[in-house]
Amino acid sequence: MADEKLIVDFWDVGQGDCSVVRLPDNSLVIIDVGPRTSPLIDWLQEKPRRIHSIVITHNDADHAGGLPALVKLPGLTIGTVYMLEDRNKTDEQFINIFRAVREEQKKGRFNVIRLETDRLIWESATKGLDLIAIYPSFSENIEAMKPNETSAILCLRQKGKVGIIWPGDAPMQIVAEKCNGLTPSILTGPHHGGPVDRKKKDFKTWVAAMQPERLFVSVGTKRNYNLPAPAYLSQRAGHGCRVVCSQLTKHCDNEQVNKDLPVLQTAALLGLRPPRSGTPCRGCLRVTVSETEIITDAYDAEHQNRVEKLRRPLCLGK
Amino acid sequence: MEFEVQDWGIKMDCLQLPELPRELARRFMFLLSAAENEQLTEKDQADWVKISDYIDFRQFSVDRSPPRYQEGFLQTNKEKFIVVWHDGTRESLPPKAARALGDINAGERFSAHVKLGKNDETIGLERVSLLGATSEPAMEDWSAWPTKS
Repeated sequence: MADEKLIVDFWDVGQGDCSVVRLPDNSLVIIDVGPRTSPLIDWLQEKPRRIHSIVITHNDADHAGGLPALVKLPGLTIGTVYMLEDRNKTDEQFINIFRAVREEQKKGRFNVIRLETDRLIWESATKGLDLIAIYPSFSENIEAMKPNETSAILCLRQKGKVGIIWPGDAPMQIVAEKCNGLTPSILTGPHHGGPVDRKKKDFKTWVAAMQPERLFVSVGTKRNYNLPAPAYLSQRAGHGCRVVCSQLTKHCDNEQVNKDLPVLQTAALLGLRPPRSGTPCRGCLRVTVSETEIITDAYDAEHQNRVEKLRRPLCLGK
Repeated sequence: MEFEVQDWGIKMDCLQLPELPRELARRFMFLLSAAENEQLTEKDQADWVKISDYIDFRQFSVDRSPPRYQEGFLQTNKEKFIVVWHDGTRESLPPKAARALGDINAGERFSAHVKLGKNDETIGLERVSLLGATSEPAMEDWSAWPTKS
């Protein structure tokens, strides 16, 4: 059987998170859908697509806010929505975001299933590639005190080796416990490059527990809650990790942000759609995943050249 | 005599100058389509990187995007129409967009297809429907949701 390949797009959705995995049969697994204004919706509206599954790492609005628009799109077929419980279900925002999801579920458009450890989202015919949740277990989910503490951690594995990790907004302590010793090709965030426990004394040890080759930080120029955290990016870069952020922040180049000059418009270059706010830096990132390797899109060198001209790019550890 | 448009990969006869805007638009559309279908050649890819620096891709996408489904709560319709969207964002609607909410009372929940502009601002609403009283969604039993399998 031919080597099956996946295309993974890490989207620039402004402040939020969204990745799209294109499976060998061209159906999609969407990992977080981004905020209410997510450009993913614009892209999906343009032509009908088959969605194998939607996985929501946790129910914050910057990860799940685009769900009502997505599930109400005509012409889409959706297999399964995976989500977990991370807050009281009387929470008004939770009810408002998921009302449309329940409505469409009741019509039989898709199943909604609890996301928990060992949940296999997808695996290839050869079983050489799979996407699986490694956190939280049912008890870890219900024992968590805050939504971020129970954010799901997803792994894309190549012949059992972890290639990409999506930890959502999970604390670094939990990421370190679950991914200790791993050397994935790509790690996202967590928490938009500012892990929630970054002020704890053992933080540096937790960061060092896993050594990704590349860090993709999905962060918005606007409403970014002072993310990403310079010290975190600096530590990652110091370990030889290639750090890229979806959007530019004022830390990196205030003047370029004020002029709203994109560093590179990868949404256009990759045929995707841009967010309506913020100044793209790397913008989107695309990788092709086979059982043995992960290859990034053709725009790395151009982006790197341009980043070096910024005033104080956080991604270079300056 | 011929001229060449720097970075765009376009060569034309000087007599065809009036056709230039059309040729630029065609080159842009060709490259975007090739990018969407992953059919860019190396030369196209190099051109596309340069061309993307000249274009306002965000405005292009905003203009091209159809309205999307959203749910909201009309907080007030007195001097301003202020809406709280389903994600908790509070927005004061511009008068042109607010007109579509003329039949909604303050305190009511609604769904609409919303045209978003730059900076995530609402620029138009259509297909407005009532969703029922504010407390209604909370009356449903969410306790066993989502299911285990």
